[in-house]
Amino acid sequence: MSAEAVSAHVLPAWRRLDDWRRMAAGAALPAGFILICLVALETLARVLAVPEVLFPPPSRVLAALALNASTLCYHAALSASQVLAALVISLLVGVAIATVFTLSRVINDMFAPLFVVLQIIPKIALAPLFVVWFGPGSLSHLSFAVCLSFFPILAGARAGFEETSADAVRLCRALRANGWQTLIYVKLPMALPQLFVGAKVSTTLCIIGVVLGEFVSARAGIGWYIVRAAALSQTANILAALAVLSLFGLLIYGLVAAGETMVRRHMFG
Amino acid sequence: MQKPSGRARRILLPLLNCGGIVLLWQLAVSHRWISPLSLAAPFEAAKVAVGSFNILLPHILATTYATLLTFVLSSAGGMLLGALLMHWRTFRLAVYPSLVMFQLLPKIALAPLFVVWFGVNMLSRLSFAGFIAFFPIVLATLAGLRATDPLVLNLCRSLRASPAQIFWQVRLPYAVPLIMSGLKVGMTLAITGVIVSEFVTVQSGLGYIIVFASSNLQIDLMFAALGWVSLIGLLSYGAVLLFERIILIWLGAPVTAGLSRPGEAAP
Repeated sequence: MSAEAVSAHVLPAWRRLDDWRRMAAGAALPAGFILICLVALETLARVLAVPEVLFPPPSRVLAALALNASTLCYHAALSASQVLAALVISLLVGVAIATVFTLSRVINDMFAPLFVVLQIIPKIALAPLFVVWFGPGSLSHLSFAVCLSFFPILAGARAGFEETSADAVRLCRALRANGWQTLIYVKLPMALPQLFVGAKVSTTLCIIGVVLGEFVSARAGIGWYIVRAAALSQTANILAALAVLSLFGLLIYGLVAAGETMVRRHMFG
Repeated sequence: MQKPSGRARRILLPLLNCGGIVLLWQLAVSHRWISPLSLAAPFEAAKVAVGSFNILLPHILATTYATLLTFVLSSAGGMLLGALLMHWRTFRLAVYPSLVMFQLLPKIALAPLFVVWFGVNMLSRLSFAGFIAFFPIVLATLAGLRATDPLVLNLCRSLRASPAQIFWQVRLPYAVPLIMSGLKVGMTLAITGVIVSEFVTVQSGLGYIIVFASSNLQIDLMFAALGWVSLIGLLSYGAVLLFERIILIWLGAPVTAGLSRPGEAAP
């Protein structure tokens, strides 16, 4: 491993092509595996003549994707905007609660165990309750998604605040920084890596929250589209919607991960 | 580390706080500050949870049974596949990216598809929940088995330990903390998957009771079912924690309680 790292620095630029070749070889195996799986599914579905309701071959899913592209895009955009809003809100809520916990010991002692218990409880069971509270509109999906997804951010922010080196905090105190200054200039930047760990978990939870909220009751959105397609037994359409959803999920996760890499590079060189 | 009074405070304060919240909630509902159509009074909900126990019992048992069976099956399968992936390099290189991708995808969205495939029955619920709970266990097992200290492995090889000995006596004990972390996530995902597929299949189980009660606006029945779901969730998670503790003590490893890691939050 270290020998490779050294060679990358010493060798002239054209020799670094080797690294590219190695990376391509590394990507070829997983890509080939997925391709083989798809081809196998296609041939199996065709040779065994499986009813399309049970298992549509991948080519049919692709056709459904192309056919319903504009409808799917409309519903996906609706859900995506809710997912993004839920992520931003749960970031704010999670960091705010963690901040209150670090600033006040009494509140921390009073509420922290409660949040640990709440974190373990399967909150997904609350989905119908949010419909009772907020009606079948997007407000209920948004609030449900926030309710699911702020916990990992809260846990990450708390872990990050606790990890702040005691020396740094002592230095701040010696320099007469007050609590807020210590928080904003020292603790918050030092908590960023842990915060991103939480944020990555909660992007998936945001999507789950919005989609499940749309399962339970909705008039539009990708979850509603999936449930309707299932009710009409349009399995190819379900899979097409899932493909769009997965693409969006990976995209938003990639965005958060890219943010994490940037912050890490900025902080640790 | 903590003063005795600090320790008492850390246990008493949350309990008092909890009691205060429940009392305030009860007062708020019974004085109609909050409509009883949106929030059930905790004592009423508890009365329903205990009073209609006979009616709820089959559903409680169904959810518990499905959760535990899902957990056992998916953890056995997940650990086996994890071990297989560690030993077979080519397979690992081919499959690992797909596994990570599946781990990230919002698999909950597949729930209606499982109904199309397996119908409205226990098999559909088990397979969906297993599908949800499986991936974190595989990845955690693989990560744990590959995290062995290379110096220790070198030592084993120079002492001519057989591969089987290395696996059972070195790699596996080293992997316990990560595997346990995967199992904890798997347990929370198992109950999540069971509840979601009960939402979708609407046949039996506490998820069915919750949907049924919400569509009839029987809020106290809904809260009673939510209370039972929470209890099952806490007990099953506690069981995994206990299991972890027993294994760690048995191995003579330092016991660490990692309760609030971000990845272990249940959806």
